[in-house]
Amino acid sequence: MNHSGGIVLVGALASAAAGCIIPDTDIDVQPNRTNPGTVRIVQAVPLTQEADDACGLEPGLEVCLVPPFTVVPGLIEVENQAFCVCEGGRDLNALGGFDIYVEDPDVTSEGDPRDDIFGVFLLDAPADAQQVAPFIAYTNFLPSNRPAQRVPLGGAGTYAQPIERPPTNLKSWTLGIETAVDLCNDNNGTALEPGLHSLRIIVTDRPWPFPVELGPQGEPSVEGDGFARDETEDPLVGIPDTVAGASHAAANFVFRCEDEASEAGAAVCNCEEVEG
Amino acid sequence: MTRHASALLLLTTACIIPDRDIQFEGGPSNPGAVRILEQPPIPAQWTTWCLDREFEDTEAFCPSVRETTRQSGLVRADDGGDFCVCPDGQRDARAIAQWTIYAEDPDRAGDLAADVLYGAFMVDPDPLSADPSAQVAYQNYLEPCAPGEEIVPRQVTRVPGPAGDEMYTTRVLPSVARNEAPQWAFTLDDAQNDTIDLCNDDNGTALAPGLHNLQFMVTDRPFFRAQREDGGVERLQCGVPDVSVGATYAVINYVFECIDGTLEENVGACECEEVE
Repeated sequence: MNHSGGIVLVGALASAAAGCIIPDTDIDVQPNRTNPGTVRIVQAVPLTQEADDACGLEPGLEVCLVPPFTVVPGLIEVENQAFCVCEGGRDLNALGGFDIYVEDPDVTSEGDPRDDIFGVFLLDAPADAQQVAPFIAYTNFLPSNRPAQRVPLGGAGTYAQPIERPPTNLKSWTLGIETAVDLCNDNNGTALEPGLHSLRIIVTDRPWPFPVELGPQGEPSVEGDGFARDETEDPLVGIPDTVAGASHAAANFVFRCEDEASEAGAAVCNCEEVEG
Repeated sequence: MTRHASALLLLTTACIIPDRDIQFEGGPSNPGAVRILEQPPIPAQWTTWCLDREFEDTEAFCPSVRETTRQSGLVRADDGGDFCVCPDGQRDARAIAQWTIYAEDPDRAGDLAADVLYGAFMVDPDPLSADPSAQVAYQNYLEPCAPGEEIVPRQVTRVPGPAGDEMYTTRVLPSVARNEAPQWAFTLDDAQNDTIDLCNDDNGTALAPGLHNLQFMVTDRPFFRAQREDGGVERLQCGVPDVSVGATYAVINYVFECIDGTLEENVGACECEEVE
């Protein structure tokens, strides 16, 4: 080795060694997470004028950015109106079409929403129900296999890009836009019993799971990195596939159905007979 | 020349490192959104597999969310009877046990939670209210707009089994699909009576008979405080999330009915008792 060649090689090695000393500031090495972001059901909430004014200090904004207004979970009650069970008819006080909004932060490398969001209604399901199939309801308004659709909000200055947050990827289901949502008379064509009812929506960011296949001892059967699924069975609608990493969220609507035929109902109901 | 080529090759390849599993932090100051946690429906078989020590590698069947003693939605008395507004000096003997609401926020600063979660109850919130803080309620059961209690997300309890080994009785484990998110607990409790008298004790005041919506809001920034023109700070606007600084929020609703126990016709249906 001549002298100059040795210097070059030593210099190259030093550069190579130094070249990979990179500062670890702002680098966070994490395990491979298949579903890092969780799904949420979102809604607008009232803000004060002062709060909106504070948001208005942000360039391009006049008010705070919140999800669009819609029928929000909780008690559904309209002043001086009642939802009614209408014998052989429909309720003219029924809710008009409305949206349920969900968001999930996971995106593809192109920045598009990565996860499909599915939802299902459960009617009057006990809190400890392990079999939810008997309580699945209103699939005429929300089919359990229909993913939420992206809401075309636009870009900056809309809820697509709120202050100091990543894009929301807002999606929604629109319920009853053509038919109205007749909660007391149209649970898949069936009327409810008069009284108070609790309607729970469960949403998830993975498809509803197929049952897990069983091994010889009744244990779950392993397949690859997960568990074998029996796709000859019906999927377990209403049960988020947490085994496969699904996230989930829930919200509740509570409403009362008056009986048109009762004395109290006669005073407040607004039923219309349906021909045929 | 060969040495120089080798050195150059070393230099050019030395810093080609895969970017898989590397996340660069920065961007929005509040990347992760807060959410309220409730267990979804879980098949009994999954619970068995989670708790049974005979089966290996079945942690994926364990819930990642703690069980709450009171699910959101329609709240009824434990015995199925009615909640009542009682005559002065009495309280509802059907008042319900205290319960805890859990929430999480995925944002971290190293191993610590980056955000603190704050919560408040509101009764009968009006979606169009100009002053949401006027609806803050039940301060006697939960200090409004105060931080929750940060808790350990994992919950594992064991008891001695019949063969001298240990059996799991509870096993809540984080999902392998995402990073473990810091969690907070908000507990409604009443040191005086041990129960939550929804109809008679909204901070010492009884509610009007009828249906009511108790909404809990959680947010990952302190609730909004308006700035005065002189630079001072106005009163805290409890119940108003500070969206102007990137706050996210989530809500959950409990709906209950209070019948009028002061009416003679309802005396038989109510169980009011003297306050000691």
